[in-house]
Amino acid sequence: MTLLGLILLPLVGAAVAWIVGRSRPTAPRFVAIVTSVAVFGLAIAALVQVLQSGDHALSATTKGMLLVLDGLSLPLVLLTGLLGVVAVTASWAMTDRPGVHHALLLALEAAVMTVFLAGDLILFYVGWEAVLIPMFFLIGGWGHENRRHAALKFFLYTFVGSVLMLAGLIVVMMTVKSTVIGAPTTAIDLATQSWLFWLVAIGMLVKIPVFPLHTWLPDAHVEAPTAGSIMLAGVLLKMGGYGLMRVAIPYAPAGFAAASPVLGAFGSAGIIYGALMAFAQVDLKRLVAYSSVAHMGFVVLGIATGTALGYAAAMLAMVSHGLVSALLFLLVGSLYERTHTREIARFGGLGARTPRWGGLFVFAALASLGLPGLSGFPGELLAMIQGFGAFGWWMVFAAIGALLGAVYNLSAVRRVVHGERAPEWDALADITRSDTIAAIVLCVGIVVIGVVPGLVLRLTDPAVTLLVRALGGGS
Amino acid sequence: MSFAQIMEFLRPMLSIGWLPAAVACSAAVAGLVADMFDAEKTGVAIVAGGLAIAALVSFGAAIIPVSASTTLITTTFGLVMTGGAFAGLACIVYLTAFLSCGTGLFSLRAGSRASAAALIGAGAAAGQVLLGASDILVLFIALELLALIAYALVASGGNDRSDEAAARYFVQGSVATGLAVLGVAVLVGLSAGASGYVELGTSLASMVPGAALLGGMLLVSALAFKLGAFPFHSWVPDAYETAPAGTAAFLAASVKAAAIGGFTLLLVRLMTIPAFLPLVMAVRIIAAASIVFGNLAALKQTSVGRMLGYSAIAQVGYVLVGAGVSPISTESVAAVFLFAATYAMGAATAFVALEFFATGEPTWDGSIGGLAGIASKHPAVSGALTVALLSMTGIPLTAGFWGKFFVFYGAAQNGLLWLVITGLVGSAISFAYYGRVIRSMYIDVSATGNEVAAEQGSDVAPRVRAWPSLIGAAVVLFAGIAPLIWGLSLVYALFAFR
Repeated sequence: MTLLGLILLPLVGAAVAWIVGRSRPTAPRFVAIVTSVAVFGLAIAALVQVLQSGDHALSATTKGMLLVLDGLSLPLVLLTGLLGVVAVTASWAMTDRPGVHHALLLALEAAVMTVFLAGDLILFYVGWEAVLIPMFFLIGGWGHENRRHAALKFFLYTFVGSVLMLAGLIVVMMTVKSTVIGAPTTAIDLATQSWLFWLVAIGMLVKIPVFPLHTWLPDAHVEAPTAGSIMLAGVLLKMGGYGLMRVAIPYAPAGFAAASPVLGAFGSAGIIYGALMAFAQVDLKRLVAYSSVAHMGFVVLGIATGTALGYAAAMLAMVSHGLVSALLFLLVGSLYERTHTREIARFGGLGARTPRWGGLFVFAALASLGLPGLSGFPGELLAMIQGFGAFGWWMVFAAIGALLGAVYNLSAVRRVVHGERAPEWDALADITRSDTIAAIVLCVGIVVIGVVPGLVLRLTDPAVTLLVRALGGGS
Repeated sequence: MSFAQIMEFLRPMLSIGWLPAAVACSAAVAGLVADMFDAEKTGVAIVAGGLAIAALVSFGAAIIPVSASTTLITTTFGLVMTGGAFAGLACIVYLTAFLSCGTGLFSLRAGSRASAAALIGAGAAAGQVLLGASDILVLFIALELLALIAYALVASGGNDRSDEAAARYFVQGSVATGLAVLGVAVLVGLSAGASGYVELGTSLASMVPGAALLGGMLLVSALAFKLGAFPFHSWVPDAYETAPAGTAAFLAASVKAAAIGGFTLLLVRLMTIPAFLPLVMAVRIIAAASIVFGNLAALKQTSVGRMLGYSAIAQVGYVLVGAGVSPISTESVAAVFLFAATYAMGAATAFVALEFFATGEPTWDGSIGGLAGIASKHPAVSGALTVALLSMTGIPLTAGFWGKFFVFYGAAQNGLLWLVITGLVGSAISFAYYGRVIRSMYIDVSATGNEVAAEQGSDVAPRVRAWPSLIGAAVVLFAGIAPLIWGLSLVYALFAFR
C-alpha cells in the first residue's frame, strides 16, 4: 500500500493542483507542497518498513503490476521524495499558470517513482517513457529563450534511446518468458547477451548521459525552468544508472562483463570531458549542466567495475549528485530570477553583496568538487579505488578528471562570488527565504552523507550483494 | 434485473452477426430520408445514432461469449465471419465512424452533409463485411464499395482541389482494382472456381509456384495500394489533406481498420501455402520501406492533414510488420487487430479534433504553424489532439503503446529483430512531427492574435462540437491505462480469437 501510494499520491495531488489552479493561482503551490511532503513522508515510512522487514525489500502486487522496493531503489526513492519537495519550493514564486506547472511537477514525480518501484519490465518501460511527457511540457512551457528547440530535442534524443531499449526488453521478455524483473532462471545464451546488453543499455546510457551520448543534456538543463532542472539533474539522470543495475546487467551479465572496459572508458572520458567543458562555459547554468556529465561519469565508472563496492559507490555517487546538482540548480535559478542573466562574466563579488547566496554557492561548489566530509567525496573516491582494481592505471585519467573538477568549481566561485564587485548588482537582493530553506535542507543532506556515507551503504548493501552473487562474482 | 441477467437476455440478439451492419445501413437510409425533408442536421444525427448503436452491439458481441460450447467466430451468410475479434474490430470501425458523423460534418458544404453521413453509415457496414470476409469475392466487393465511398468523400470538400484529388485517387484506384481483378481471377481460376478462403487454400496448396505466385503478387500489390503502403502510397497524403477533416476521420480510421482486418486474414491464409512463401519477404520489405519513407516524408510537411497522411503510410508499415510474421499465429493476428484498433482510435480522434479547429477557427489554414497558441483557447480539444498524437507515436499510458508493443513483440519472437528496430526507430522519429504539432499548440505563441479570430469565429462558425474528440481521447487513455491496473488479459479480451 505504501508503494502504491508513492505513485498514486503525487498523481492525485497533480489533479487537485490543476483543478484548484484554474480559479485560484496561489492555491496550487500549497497543494503541491503538502503532496510532496506527504510523498516524502511515505518514502520514509517505506524506509522504516524495509528496515524492519527481514529480507530488506518490500513488494506489492495488483492484478496488473508488481511493485518492488529494495536497497537499490530505496535511496533513489528517498532522493526523489526529497527533491520533489525542493522542486516545489524552488518554484514557490511561480506566477505563470502555476496550477499546470505544479501538476506537471507532481506527475513527473509519480512517473519517476514508477520507474524506481517497477517490479516488471512493462511497468518499468511505461514509467520510463511517461517521464518524458511532463518534462517535455515543463521545458516547453516554462523554459527559457530557446525552449521550443530544447523541449523537442530532449524528447527525441531520449526517446530514440528508449525505443532501442524497448527492442532489447522485448528480446529479454521473449527469451526468459517472464516480465518480472530479476535474475533470469534460465540464462540468456552468451552470443545473444553480447549485443543484448548494448541494446538494453543504450536507453540508459543516453539518460545518464554517458559521454558521447550526452548532447541533449546541456540544452535541456539550461532551458528547463529551475524546478525542471532540479528534477532532471537530480532524479531523471539517476534512472539511467538505476536501469543499468536493475535491468541491463542482471539480464546480460556476460554481455556486461565484455562491455565493462568500454563503459569504464566512457565513464572516465565523461569525467574529463565534462570537467573541461564546464571550465570553458560562460553561462553559469551550462557550467552546472556539464558538471553533471562529469559526476555521472563516476557513476558509470563505479558500475563498470562490476564489484559490489563499485555498485555501492555508484549508488552513493548518484545520491550525492542528486543533492549537489539540485542545490546548484536551485542557486543558479534563484540568481537568474533576480538578475535575469546567467553570464558568468557579468557577475563578481556577489559574496559581499548577497552573503547568504554566496555562502551557499561556495558550499555547493565545494561539495561538487568532492571535498572530504561532503557527500561527493566518498562515492567518487570509492568508484576510483574500485576502478584501480578493475582497470589498473587507466584510472589516472579519471583522477585527472577529478582534479579538473576542483578547477572549474573553484574558478566559478572565484569569478562569481569573489573578485571585483560588479556595480550593476549593487541593489541585488539576497536569496529568498523559501529558496534558503530548500537549500539548507539539501546542505544538511550533503553533510550527513559526507560524514556518514555508511547510511546509504547500509541500505544498498543487501541489494548489491544479491546482485553480485547473481552475476556469479564476488568482491 | 442484474447485469448478468441483462446480458443473458441480450445474448441471442448479440449473436446475430449482421445486426450492427443492418442498423448502420438502416440509419444511413433514414438519414437520407430525413435529408429529403430538409432536416439535414437531423439526418446526420440519425446516422451517428445508428453507428453508435452498431458500435455498442459489436462491443457486446465481442465481450460476451455467444455460447460456451461453440467458438465465438461464427459465420453469417457463410461468407462473413463475426464474433470474437471480428466484433471487436468492427466495434472500432463503427465507433470511429460514429465519431466522424458526430462532428456534424460542418466543414462540408451545407446540403451535402447528410448524404456524406449516409455514405459513412453504409461504408461502415461495408467495413464490417470487409474485415470478416472469408471469401475472396466478398472481400473484393466490399473493398470496391468502400473505395467508391472513399472517392466520393474525398470529393465532398466541394472545391477544385478536392475534385482534383478525388479524380487522381479514382484513376489510381482503378488501376489497383484492375490488378486486384486479375489477381483474383488467376487465383480463383487456378483453384477451379473456388473462392472461399478454405477451399482456395486447399486447392492452391498442391499447385506448383508460378502462376499462383503471380496471382498472389497482383493481389498483394492491389491490397498494398488500398492500404496506402509504399510504393503505392501517393494518393494517401492528397486524400487526407483535401478531404474535409470530419470525413477524413472515417477514411483514415474506419476504412483503414476494416481493410487491415480483412487483408491480414487473407494474407494469413495465403502465406501458409508453400507457393506463396516468397510473398512473406515482399510484405516485410514493403513494411520496412513504408516505415522509413512515411516517417521521413512526414518530417517536412507543413500541413497537419498531409503530415497525418504521410504518417499513415508509416503506420501501415507497422501493420505489415505484424502481418509479415511467418508462420502466423492467432496471437499475431490478434496483435495486428489490436494495432489496427489503436491506430484507428488515434487517427479518428486526431481528425475529429482537426474538424473542430477547421470549423471553429475559420482563419486556420490547415498548417501546423497555424495552430500556434490554440491550446490556451481550446484546451480540451487541444488536449484530445495531444493524446491522439501521443498514442500514434506509441507512448505508454495511451492505447497506441499496447498496439505497437504486441506487434513488435510478435515480430521479435519470429526473429525479425531488424524489422522491430526499424519500426521502433521509426516511432521515435515520428515524434519529431507529431511533437511539432503539440509544440505548436502549447508552446508557440500565436502570431495573429486570438481575440480577432475568436470574434470572427463566433459569427461564422456553426455550433462546433468538442465531444467527439473528447470521447476518442478518453477511449485512447482508458485503453492505455486500464491494462496496467487490470492486467494485460484485458488487452486481448476484445481482439483474441477465442
